[in-house]
Amino acid sequence: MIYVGGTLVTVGVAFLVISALGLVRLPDFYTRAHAVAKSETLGLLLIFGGLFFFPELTVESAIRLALVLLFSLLANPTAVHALARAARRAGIPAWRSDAP
Amino acid sequence: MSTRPALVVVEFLGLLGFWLVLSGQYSPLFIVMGVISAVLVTALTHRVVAEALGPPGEGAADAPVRILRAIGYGFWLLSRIPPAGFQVAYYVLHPAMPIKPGVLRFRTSLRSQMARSALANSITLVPGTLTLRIIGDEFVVHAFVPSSAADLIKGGMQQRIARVFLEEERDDPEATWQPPEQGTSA
Repeated sequence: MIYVGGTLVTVGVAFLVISALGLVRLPDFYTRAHAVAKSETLGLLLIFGGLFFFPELTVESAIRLALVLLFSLLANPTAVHALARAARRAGIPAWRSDAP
Repeated sequence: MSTRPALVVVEFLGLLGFWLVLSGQYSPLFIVMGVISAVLVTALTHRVVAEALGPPGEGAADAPVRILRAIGYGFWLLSRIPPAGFQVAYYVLHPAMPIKPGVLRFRTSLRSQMARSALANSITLVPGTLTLRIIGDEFVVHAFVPSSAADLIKGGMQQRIARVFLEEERDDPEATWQPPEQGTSA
């Protein structure tokens, strides 16, 4: 069980690192928002999913974990949408690939 | 817009319960902080909550159906998150980063505010698309690559949401694809 949990948490952390790398590499605000909305949500999902497999987990903390996960799943896309909407209203241009 | 006392009480108790479960601290200091937070959030959001739920009693009879369908939809959406994460990871890690972002507009046939905000959040969670703005029934969506926009239109996501909110199902919308000009406001 600890190996299943450990693997999930490790992969989750990898997605958070990729999300952070995306913030650096991607060309503009909107594509960076994609990195935060998706890679980070998946990273959180994997880390929390992994924590459920840890034997130290009590029922009480499992409920708490599930609630925090549910909250993040709702809040993450909402917050990213609010940011993207604000960026668009402020007139931040979207980057376009010049390759055909 | 009228205030509904019962709804305000329910929202306050729900928020306070959420706080107590998450904090796990039951000393007076933490409970007082929880009460203050719950009062603040309730005061700021109760109008939005009342508006989202609609007039009292409306749709109460089929609430169980909607809740069951919403849970089913939640699991479907959950299954769409890993592909989205992998897609972004692929483009971020690819040395050349072959992304071709663009902006897409379409009109939704969903009527209620709740259904539309569910669609907006879903668009942001599924692979390659991000909701930018909602102007009435028009959605403005940013897409990572053109193919992900096609997924959004053909995916039948709107039909799934329509089923959850018991609205009539329509055909997939027509979308106009407009790659933004570089250096100008999209």
